Order: sequence, then C-alpha cells, then structure tokens
Amino acid sequence: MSESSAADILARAQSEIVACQTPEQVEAFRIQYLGKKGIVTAMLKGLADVAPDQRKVIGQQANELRSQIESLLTDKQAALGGARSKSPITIDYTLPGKRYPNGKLHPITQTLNEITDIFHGMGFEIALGPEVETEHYNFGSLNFPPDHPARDMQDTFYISKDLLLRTHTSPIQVREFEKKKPPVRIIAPGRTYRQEAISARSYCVFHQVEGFYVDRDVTFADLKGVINAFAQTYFGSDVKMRWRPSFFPFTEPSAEVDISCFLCGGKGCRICKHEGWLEILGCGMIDPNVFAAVNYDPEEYSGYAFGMGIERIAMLRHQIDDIRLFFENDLRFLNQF
Amino acid sequence: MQISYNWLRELVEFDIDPHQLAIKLTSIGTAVESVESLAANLDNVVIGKIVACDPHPGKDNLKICKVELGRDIQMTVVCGAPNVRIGMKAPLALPGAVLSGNVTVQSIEKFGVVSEGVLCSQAELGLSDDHSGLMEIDPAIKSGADLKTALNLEDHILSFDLTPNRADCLSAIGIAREISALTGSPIKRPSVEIKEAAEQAATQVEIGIEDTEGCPRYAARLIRGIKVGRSPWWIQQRLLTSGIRCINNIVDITNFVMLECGQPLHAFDFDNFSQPKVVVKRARAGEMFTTLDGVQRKLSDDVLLITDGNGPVAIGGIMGGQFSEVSDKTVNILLESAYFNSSIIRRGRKHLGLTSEAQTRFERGADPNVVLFALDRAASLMEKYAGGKVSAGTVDCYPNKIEPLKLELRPSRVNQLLKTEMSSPTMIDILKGLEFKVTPGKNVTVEIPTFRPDITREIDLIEEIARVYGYDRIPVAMRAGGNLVVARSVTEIFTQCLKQAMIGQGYYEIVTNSIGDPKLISLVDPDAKAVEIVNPISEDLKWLRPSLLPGLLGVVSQNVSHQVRTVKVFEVGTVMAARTDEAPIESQRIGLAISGTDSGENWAFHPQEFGLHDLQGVLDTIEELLRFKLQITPSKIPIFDQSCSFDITTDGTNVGRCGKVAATILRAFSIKSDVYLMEMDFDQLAERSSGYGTYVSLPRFPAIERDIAVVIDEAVQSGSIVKVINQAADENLRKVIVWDVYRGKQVPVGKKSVAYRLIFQNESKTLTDGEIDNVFNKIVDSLKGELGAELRS
Ligand SMILES: [Zn+2]
Repeated sequence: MSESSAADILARAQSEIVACQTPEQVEAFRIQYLGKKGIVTAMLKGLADVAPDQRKVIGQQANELRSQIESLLTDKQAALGGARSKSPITIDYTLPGKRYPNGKLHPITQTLNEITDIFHGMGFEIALGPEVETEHYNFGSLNFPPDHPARDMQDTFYISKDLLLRTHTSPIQVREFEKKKPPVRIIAPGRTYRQEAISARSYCVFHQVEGFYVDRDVTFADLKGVINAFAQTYFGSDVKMRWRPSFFPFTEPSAEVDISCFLCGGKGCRICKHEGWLEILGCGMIDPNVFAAVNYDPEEYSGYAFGMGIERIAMLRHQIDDIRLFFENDLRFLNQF
Repeated sequence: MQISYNWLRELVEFDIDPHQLAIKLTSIGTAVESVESLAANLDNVVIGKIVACDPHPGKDNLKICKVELGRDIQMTVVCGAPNVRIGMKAPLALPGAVLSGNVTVQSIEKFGVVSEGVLCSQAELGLSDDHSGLMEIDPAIKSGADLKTALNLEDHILSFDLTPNRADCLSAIGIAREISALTGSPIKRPSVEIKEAAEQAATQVEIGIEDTEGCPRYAARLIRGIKVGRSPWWIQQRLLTSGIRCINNIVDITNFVMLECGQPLHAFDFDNFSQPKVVVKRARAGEMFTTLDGVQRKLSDDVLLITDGNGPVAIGGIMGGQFSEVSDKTVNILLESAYFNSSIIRRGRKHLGLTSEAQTRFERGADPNVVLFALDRAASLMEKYAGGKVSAGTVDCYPNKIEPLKLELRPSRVNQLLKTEMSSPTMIDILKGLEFKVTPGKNVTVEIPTFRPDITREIDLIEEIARVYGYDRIPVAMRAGGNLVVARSVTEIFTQCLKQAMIGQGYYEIVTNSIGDPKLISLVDPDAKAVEIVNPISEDLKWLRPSLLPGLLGVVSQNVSHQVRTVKVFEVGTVMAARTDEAPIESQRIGLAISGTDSGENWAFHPQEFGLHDLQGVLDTIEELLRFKLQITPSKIPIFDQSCSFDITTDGTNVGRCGKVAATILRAFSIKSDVYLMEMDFDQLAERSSGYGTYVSLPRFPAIERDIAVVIDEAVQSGSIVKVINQAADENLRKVIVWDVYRGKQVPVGKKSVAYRLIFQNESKTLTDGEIDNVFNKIVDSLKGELGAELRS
C-alpha cells in the first residue's frame, strides 16, 4: 500500500459520489468503500500485514481516508435528504417568534425605581419607614399644630388613639434624624394612606418618595439645583421649571414645583388642563421646629426636603386618567408599560 | 375665595391685565386657580322696562308683556316669572344672545303669541344661581341700555386657592395688599363717615365676656330705624362675583364688609333680645340651639355662645340664631364685630360639623385690630343704604389688647439660607410692602401686624422676603456636598434581582390595596390577627392585610373573568400582624399566583395546565438567586387543597407556604379555574441572601455522564431516589439531573419510570471508565436493594 493509492482511492470516490442520484446508489457507494468487505475496510484489516515501521503511517492514512469518505457520504445524504422525504418546506418568517413571554414590573415600581435611581446617582441613600406611625412622627414632630385639620379623622386612618396609617413619607425624615448626625442625605420611597373616598382621582392607598438633605450651609439654591436636575433628568432637559411659594408645616420657605407640560410644550392641552404647567412636587427648607424635635441646632445646620406622589408622576408620564387602574391590576393594563 | 378684578383695581392702582395678575399673584404664593370673564355671555342683553303685563290667553301661569327699550321701541315678550309687573326694569335678552346652559335666544311662538326675547333671571344670565324671578334692575338706569355697560359687568373673577396659613388673604384688601407688595403702590382703603345720633350706645346695651380666651374682643354698634330691603346693585354685584348669595341690605352689607376687609360681622334683630345685654360664654354640654338655617343643634362646651344674658342668640363666630335673625320687619339692630380665638372655633366647628364664611376666617386666624374699622364701615353703609340711625359710640369689650409681635431679622441669615445677595433695603422694602412696620439696623426690627398671625419667627419673615423677591430670582446651585458614599443594602439588591427574575419568567408584578375586606381575609386566614382601622371608608375596606393571598386571588379573579388564558402574577409588599397594646408588626412578603395554562398563546408550544411544579420552578429560581436551599414539605393549610398543601422551609425555619387553592375558597372569589399560590416571608429570604457570588475555579478535567432510568412505585418521591443515589456514590458524583418522568406503555400500572443523568467529575484527574463503573454499580445495587427499583434499559 502506498501514499498514491490512498489518494487515488479518494479521487475515485469523489468522482463516483457525484454520480450518485438516489439513496440506493449512495448505499451502494457506502458498501463499496466502507462495507464489511469495502475498500477502506480492507485497507485497515490489511494493516496487520504491513511492516511494523510503516504501520503507523499507513494506519493514519487509512483512518483519514475513512473519515473523508464518511463526510462525502454525509454531505450527499443531506443533499438528497430533503428531496427524498417530503416536498420542500418554505420557512414562514412571518410566524410570531418562539418564546415564553416576559412579565412586566408594575408601572408604580417602574416609576419609583427610575426616580430613586436618579437621586441615588446624586448621592442620596435609600431609607424606609413603617406604614403604621404614631401621631408624633406623622404630625407632631413635623410641626403640625395640635389642632391641624390634617389630623382629623376625616383625613387620616387611625388604628388606635395614637397610631395611624402614615399620610406621607415625611415621618422618615424624623426617624432618620434621630438615628444620624448630619450630613444626612436620603431618598425614602413608601406606601402612604389617606382617608378618602375612592374615585378616578384619589385612592385610599398611594405611594410617595421623600428626599432630604441636612448639612452645614445647605441653601434654597441647593434645593433648586437638585430638583431642577431631577426634573430635567426624568422629564427631559428641555422642560422649563416654575417655582411657586406654598405652605407645608414642616418646611419654610416652602414651594410647589411645576414643569412645563412635556406633551404640548407649554401651549396647553388636556393633560395640563390647558395651563401649560404640570405640578410635580412640593418642597422647602426644613422648618427649624423639625430640627428642634430631633436636637439638631438650626443655627448650625440647615436642610431641604421634598416629596412627590408616584401615582401622579406615573399618570403624567403614561397619560393615565384613572388612579384606580394601578390597583386593579388588569393584565391588559399592566402589559402596556 | 373669589374676588373681582375691578374691585381690586378700586383698592390699589395697577396696570396689569387679569391673566398676568393671576400669574404674578401665583408667583408670590397667592395662588389663583382660575380667571373667568364675568360678562362673556352678555352680548345682546339690554335693559327693558315693562310697560304692560297681561295674562296669556293660552296658558295660565304666563304673562304677555310689552317691554320698552327706549322711546320708540317696544317688544312683546312672554314671561312666566313670579315677580314680573308693570313698571319694573329687567334684563331682556334679544335674539342672538346666549344664555346660561348655552341656550341661544330666538324669536319664537309660545302658545300662539310670538315672544321677541327673554326676560332674564340672574341665573339665566349666569350671574348667580338665583332663578327665583327676574333680575331687578335699578329704575334709574335708562331703558334700552346695554346691560353689561350699564351694570359695569365688564369684569373678571379671580378664584384663589389659598394655603391654610394665609388667613390675611381672605378679603379684597388682603389680596390688594399682595398686589401692593408686588407693585409698590399703596392700598386705598375706603373712607368711613358716620353721622352718629344723640343716643349713646353704651347706655343702651351692656357687653360682658365670660370666656375671654375664646373671645378676646367683642364690639358692637346699635343702629335704629333701619328699613330692610334690597341692597344697591354695586353691593349685590360684589357679593355675586364672590359667589355669595344676596339676602337683604343688612345681611348683604355684613357680608360685603367681610369680603372687603376679612372681618366677619353679624347683625342681630335687637328687639328680639330679652334684655339689652350681650354675654359671651361657653355652651353647656347638651344645650340645644336652633341656628338661622333652621337646624336644631346639640351644643357642647367646645361651642362659644353669644347670649342676651338669658339665652343664646348666636353661636359665636360660626352662625347666628334663627330667633334673632334680621327679618323684613326688623327695625333696630345690634351689629357685632368680634374676634374669636381660632382653636375654639375649630373645636366648635368639629363638634357641630358646621362651616361658614365667618367660621373659616376665624378658624384660620382673624385680625383683632380690624374689628372697629369693619364695624364702622358696615354702620356707615347701613346708614346710607338702609336708612339707619347709628347710635353714638361703640361698645367695645377688649380686656387684654393684643399687641403686634416684634421680631428681629438678620439680613445675613436671609442671604445665607437663600444664597442670595439681597441688600437690607431690598428686604425692608418687601416687608413694608406687606404693611409690616420696620426699624432698620444691623438687625432689622419688624413689627408684625395682627392680621398676620402666621408670622411668629425669623424664618417666617425669611419666607415672606423670599416669596415676594421671587423664587425665580434665587440662584440654582450645583454641588453635591456632604458624604458621597451611598451604600445599597443587600435587601435592595435582592429585591431588584428577584423582581427581574420573576418578570423574566413571565410573571407580572401587581400592586394591590393593603386595606382589605375582613370577610375575605378571614376566609383565607381564619386565624389572622389583622389590624383594624377605627375609621374605615367602608365595611369592606376595614382590615390591613395580614397576607398577600386575598389580594392575589382578587387579581386572579378579575383577570380570569376577562378570558385571560395565562395568569402569572406576583407582589412584594408589606403585611401587618396586630399586637395587643403595641404597634403592629410589619413585614415584607412575596406572593405569587398562577392560573390557567403556561405559554398559552404561542404556536410553538403545547400549552400545559399550571401545577405545583410551576411553583417549584420559582422556588428553584429563588434558590439560585439566594444561593441556599428551600424545601417544601406537605402540611395542612386550610386555604389549600389538602392533597397539595406545603410549607416552605430553609434550615428548618418556616419561610412560607404554597399549594393548590381549595375549591371553597375559589368559589368565594368566583374563580372557576385552578389557582396555585405561594407566599414567603421576604425579609427572611433577603436576610439570607449573600448579595454577590464568590468565584469557584472552573473544572480542569472532563465530566463524564451516565444515564440511569428506574421503574419504581408511584408513591416513591424522586427526592428519596436522589438521596439513595447520593448515599451510594462517592464524592465524584457532582450532579444528578432528572431528565424524564414517564408513565404509560412498557411501564406497569402503579409504577413510573424516572430517568436521571449522573455527572461525575474529579478536580485532579480524568476519571476512568473503571472507576465510574464501580460507583455506578453500587448505585444500581442500592436502588434495587433499598427502593425495589428496576432498571429500564
Ligand atoms: Zn399640556
């Protein structure tokens, strides 16, 4: 057996396989070369007769030849395969993809995550607080006078004389101030409650995000900086800001912040009630009385706080006109976000 | 509160159009909610004089009127108003005019008579809701005149949405003061002149205050010989544009003065007093009193009473009494101008559940020192418009004069807090514009007028300066400051990972009401210690959820009813457990619900009914995220079908439950398909989460796989088989994968075939066939010996 003969066998096989047009012919080809008495098989069997010094080389050649012929066979079988079994299949590229569909995060979570991420990126740490609060944390420590109307049973859910469902996330301010010394910079999301009849515009449960920063020399200008940065990050860098003086017991000076309507660019539309402005949050400099309640010296430290309603922001962003949809969890609704 | 633009222009000079004014006022914190044109719909309405008024032959309650519009023009109008009469003047809407409700006037036939216009009530003109009869027009106004011009109706109404601290803005002068602060032009207060009669009021009425805390000041004037009638149009118009109903000249004047300067007044029919005396005192608990709205009210000692020494005549600061009310027959009145403490008014309002214009102003905080101005202003108007003779002098009971507060303001502090560079004079100008008295100096001394009870500290003055200076002029700082380390807790990271993993597996996150229906909650958890709300909005929203499961079932129910084939939902939220005499325990849970078929809508898959193994899939995912083992063991949980009810544990600690919902529960939620639920203590899971993974070096030698299929009794759990395999094997067995479970042909009834793939690997060498055969044979022997398994070839 010589080198040229292995090459000859391969060349012959290559020309013969081209001539095979039916599975029967292919099978005959296979038997001719690789069958029990086939050419390649015989070659391998014959190795025993070869001189020991040549055995290794010849053996390698024979094995290589076998695999080359096997691959000729496989290719030919594949080429004939489709034609053999059925009529040709056309790929239907218009069928929907094959997949198990994803679920979705609730739009409130999506909104909350995006907001907290923005503030987290600006150096705010996340904190949480209890949903059942005392009168002290929910009102008293936040400078609500003892007979403030918000304390009425008409506005607040009570579970006992002193315990209530928090009406805002602001109690987290006081709880954090009690735990830490300035600087304190925190973003605190959470569920809040209001004793209100359920309607398209209000629900007894809702979500807020509270943010605050206390340090030496924190100014109203810092508040404006952080709120403007948030609003332009979230709503787009081209929104205009409007700061209106307002009133909250726990901040002074206080403000409500509007952005120019991102739908109509401020010209007026249904979403902005034709005013061109959308209110997004309330904020202000933390009232010295809040500091007094936690033994921070208001002459040494100052700080700002802000709070916003997540449902409101989500409703603006997605143009949702009924707050109840968030709590009904109709999958046809949840699937839209 | 509503105030007309024209009125403001009378009180302070400015040249700003109504819409701009609204924007400017809003920018300094006096929020204007809306600006509406008063006379938008009053074109084609003229003043007509009724010169003939005859019964309509075709209809009993109608009249045929001849209405004169100037010398030569007469029109025929059919009218049904009760007060229509010859000689009166009334607004006549001509064809083309648009009346309230968008009705366009046309010349039309009414029961055989052509009516050439409509004689109008105030309601039809959109001026008020008074539709009791035709609007009466001052006979002095010329017939045929355009109504809008003649009555000065070219005006705008500004509606204010004031914050509760700004009691001083609940009047026209209060708003004018804000404009004055903006523009620098002074307020023009009306001048008051009274020609007092000889009779000394002090000799005619005696005033005493028993509760000087509730009522620090009570002043009154006596006005005799008044004639009750209609107010002049200009007063009516002020009331109408402020949304206050006109009653008669006396009541209208008290309301007008209240709108003008913020001080509520009350006029009593003095002849109904049992003695010429006023005593202010607290009511006795249980005492009854009928207010002027005709309602009999039960009082408490939180209610302040005005009495005549014998019995009550009014509830101080809230509402007058029916008995002493001014009527058509009233001749002599006692005019009250008092100052009531805001907290007694608040308690009284809460007890009575009664609000009024006066009560709102006293509760928010009135001005004790505007009392006499208001009294004199009203007396002078009553003299002029009700023919009253004002007795000489005021009876003023004011035992402890309330003096203005003095505060120190540090200009440096203002600039420090606002990061502004305002000069002292700028600050002083702003404060003076708000009618504060200011003494300049290094520290500015500010005398706070008593109409600003909300200003008690330096910070309050800083806010006043900031808002008038303009928030827009305060710079915007861009600095991080403070500590920049913002650690994320393991819980935060775990929460996000878990939620992402859930949605990746097709679960929708839901957010449900945390206040639920006691009936459904106790059905799901009969032993629940739920927290109850004392003042719920309804009986079915009364308990704080002790579990997420009722909410999940509600959502399944709602979606199944919409023919959704695949419901896969989860919620992460707070649940509460009640404790005696302590705040409830709040904890976080994760719950999930599945119902219907998996992959229900994709052509490439055969949908399968959900089952327990779908829940286990979620557990496996959580295990992977947490890097620790969760086990489920059968248990008897009432909400679940007893054949499919499990506890979820880790290291022997119970962390949750799962199973197939029992049929009785499904019925209560009107669900017709099977539902599987799982609920776990989220805090316990998060606590065990290790946060980040630690690298283990990858194997350097190949793994070798061996498959084994065992035919075994149906009752034997795969877990026991795997356990036997593991016990029989050595440390080279790295993983056992269940890759097939089969029942059917070739497997006897009562048996199942379970196929495993065993993966062997060693860290330091390639395992030989011989080594693996050895272990494999041991495994086979154990399976046969311990479990009676047969091998399937
Ligand atoms: Zn818009």
